[in-house]
Amino acid sequence: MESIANSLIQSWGITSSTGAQLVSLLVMFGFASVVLLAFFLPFAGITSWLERRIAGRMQSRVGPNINGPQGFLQWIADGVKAMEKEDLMPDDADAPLFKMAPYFVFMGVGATLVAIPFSEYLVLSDLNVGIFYIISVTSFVTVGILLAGWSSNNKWSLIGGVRSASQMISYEIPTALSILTVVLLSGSLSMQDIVKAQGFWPWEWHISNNPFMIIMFFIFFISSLAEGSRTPFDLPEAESELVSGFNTEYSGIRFALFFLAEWGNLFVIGAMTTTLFLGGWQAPLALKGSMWLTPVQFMIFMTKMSVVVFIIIQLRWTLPRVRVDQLMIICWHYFVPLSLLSILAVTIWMAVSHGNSTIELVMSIFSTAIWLYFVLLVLYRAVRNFKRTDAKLNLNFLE
Amino acid sequence: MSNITEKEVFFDEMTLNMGPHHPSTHGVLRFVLKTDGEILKTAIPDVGFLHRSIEKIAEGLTYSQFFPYTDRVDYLAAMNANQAYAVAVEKMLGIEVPERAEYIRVLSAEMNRIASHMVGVGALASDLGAFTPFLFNLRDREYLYDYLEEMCGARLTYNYFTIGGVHRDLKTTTKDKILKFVKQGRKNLDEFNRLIAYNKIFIRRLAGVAVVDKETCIEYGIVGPNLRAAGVNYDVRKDQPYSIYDKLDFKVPVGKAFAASDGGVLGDAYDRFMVRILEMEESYNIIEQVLKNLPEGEIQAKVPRKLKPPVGDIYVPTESARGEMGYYIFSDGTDKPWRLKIRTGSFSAMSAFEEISNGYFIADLVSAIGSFDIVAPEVDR
Amino acid sequence: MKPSELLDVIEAEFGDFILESSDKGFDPYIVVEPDALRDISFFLKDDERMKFDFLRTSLGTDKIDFIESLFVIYSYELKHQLIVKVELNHKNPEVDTVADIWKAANWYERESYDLLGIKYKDHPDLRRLMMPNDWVGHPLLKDYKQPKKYHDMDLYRFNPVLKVVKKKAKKKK
Repeated sequence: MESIANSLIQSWGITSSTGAQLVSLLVMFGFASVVLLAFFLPFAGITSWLERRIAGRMQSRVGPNINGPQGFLQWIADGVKAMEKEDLMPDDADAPLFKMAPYFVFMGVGATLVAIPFSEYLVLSDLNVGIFYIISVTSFVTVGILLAGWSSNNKWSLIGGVRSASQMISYEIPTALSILTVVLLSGSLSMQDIVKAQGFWPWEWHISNNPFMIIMFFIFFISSLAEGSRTPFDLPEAESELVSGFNTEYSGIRFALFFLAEWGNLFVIGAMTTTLFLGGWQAPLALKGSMWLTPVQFMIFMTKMSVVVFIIIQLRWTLPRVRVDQLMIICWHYFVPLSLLSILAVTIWMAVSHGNSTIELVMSIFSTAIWLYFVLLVLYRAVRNFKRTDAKLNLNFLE
Repeated sequence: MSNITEKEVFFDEMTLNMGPHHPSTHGVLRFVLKTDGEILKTAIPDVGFLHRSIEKIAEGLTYSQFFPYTDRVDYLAAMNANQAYAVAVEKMLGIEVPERAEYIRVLSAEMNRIASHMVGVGALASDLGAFTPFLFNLRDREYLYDYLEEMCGARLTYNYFTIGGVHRDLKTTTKDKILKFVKQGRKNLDEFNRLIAYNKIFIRRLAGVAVVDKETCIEYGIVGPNLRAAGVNYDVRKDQPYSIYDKLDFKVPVGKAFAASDGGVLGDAYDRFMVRILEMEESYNIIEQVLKNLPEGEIQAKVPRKLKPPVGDIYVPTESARGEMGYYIFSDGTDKPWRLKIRTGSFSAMSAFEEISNGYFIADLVSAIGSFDIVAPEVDR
Repeated sequence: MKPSELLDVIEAEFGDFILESSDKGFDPYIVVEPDALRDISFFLKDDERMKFDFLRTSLGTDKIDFIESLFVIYSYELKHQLIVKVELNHKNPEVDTVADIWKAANWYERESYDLLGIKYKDHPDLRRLMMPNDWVGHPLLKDYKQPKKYHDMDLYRFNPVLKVVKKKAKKKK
């Protein structure tokens, strides 16, 4: 992307002076943000449609199916409705903070898309501190939620904002520690290097490197859920306790921005999980050099990401909420010690195996067997539950 | 600054209002919370938003005209409310109800008890964030509504009972459908249990929360599944039986610290939840027994046009889904009651809140309200 | 215990203070003098032969000559039920509270105060329960007239059908 922008500017014949460099910088920013928004906003909207349909089918009812084919235009209708609502603000609310808060949250999620690799050549900017940049930018969400809770001049919003801030700050630590193991294994902070250290086959992914990486995968997954305030950790926006928590006083497009940020965050969690642990865009070696390479890599990435997003949506509609103090106990009593232990184990493993590819292959196949066993166990249990209730699998989801 | 004395400035207490419009209070109830951060000092309930002066209205209506009002006292278990009033008036007048009518009465009351418990446990689950089990229960409730509609024509407020029997008969097609539903209903209840009742997060959320022990229950007059979860084996259907309950064979589930391995004690919210689920299973048994032994006969006893009970007062308790629903009727010899009072189970449960809510989290308060299964129209009448 | 044995035991202890007792009606009841209510309540709760630990309900009735306040008690162990009544006059309906003996009576007595005007002495928290805090009057009394307005809200709703029916009746005449 950088090279394309640079070549565009040079074709306009601008010499290198400070003014021209500033202009070229601005042009790059404009280009990048247009691409970002054009990709991010529809994806957030489509995730909302997907979530409502999946939730409906899980609860033996149909989701939205009136606006457009299969209800696909529902999110456009919701966006238009949100834009035409009255923009209320409480009298005693802190006006500048109140207006700024949704933008912090949205920016915290949107800016992460810059460094995510969709294929070998499709990445907006391959920073050499890619993963570090992503972790730091997602902290903006905490600031935004605290601002929203405080400036609404509402005791319930304040409780929601403070709860959410403490939750997000606590769960950043297990996230960062689990990312640390991946960085150790791949030897670099850049996202493309992390993906290139993996392969196409399941035993070449980072999750199958050694059994402790499976634990790290789970800790990363659950901590990202807690960062994104999804059930079972959605206490800040607990609908039945605090009437929507920190976004009680928001209406119209400001409210919609919070929710777009949440659904976009799903996308970011899915992308991060596939990039770090599940092999990213890696395609079979046989395709190297053909013109099908980029589309196939993109499709592989999207497939893996969609599976993770599907699991997250299913988790939301199945599990109850965890209480505030139980949340903190999980983080500090279980996750942090486990992740520190795993870092130690991974470093010991790397020192022992020391590039010896047979030992690494044996360990990889062993770990693949472990996580494949769990996946098959889940599928077996699902089929058995089905048979017990005499339920009928209705695959006719097009009705 | 020197004018502020120590008494005027409170550092720790925040007064919050969990107002009448709230997604989690079941109906129109208001709580004034005094909190210290996340921990409550007390939760003072404020009721009366749904007061419809049913007791005053009863003083201007005849005994048989009052039945529709009994539905609205507890709309989730309306057949049980109907039965409570019918049993009270029939005891005063000394009317004997024919057998077929008694069996149909018990059938509809138990079906309604299942429906009400489905909403009770489902609402508790959905307050805690698990929305799907509640909707599964609502799907089963739709089947129950269909069968009750075939029996009496209405889905929620039935007005089915009359003094001396019921006013429409039960068809054989409906009877077969209900028998088939009972089989599937048991499997659905099993699925519900596997989905939420044995879920670790759910158990940890409810174990040891809102513990109401035996002495507090008896002192505050708490009845029904809440009392049984605290360990007292008292069920009006067994101890002061009415209708044909003494001929039926069913067990009364009593709480016994079901979540003991996760920190639960006797009388906590998880016990109340499990007692309701076990009661649903027992109700399925009762329905099967009733339908297998349904006798033929007429459905309404011969009662005079104007019902004039002798002078005197009576208190008759029955077991509704939420506890003991009792009617106190004082009649002065005319065909309209002089004083009628409805004693409901949710009223006593609400009255205990001020004392027992010391030391909860705000999230625990929501679990407590849900586990007591409080319905606002029962509290305010 | 059978109702007649129950009444015999109570009359043996408190014979002077019991104005009337009967088990011939539907439920056994005793009518007590207001001053002796608390002593009798303590006896009923604690005595080994009585053991009434469950206050089922407590209410008031407006019989035109007097106001009656009564409560229904039941024993879980011995399985007997009793109604205890007190008669008060309209002008000054005051009686001792039993809210510290049976805590269930707390809200029931608040309801009787709210709807009938019975004042309970030494009640921990006697204020209105069902009606709004600034309501005037006690609704369940037999001679209660509902006010026409409450804080600028009309309490009677215009019924268009009634007007048409009255007009037709006038026309027929």
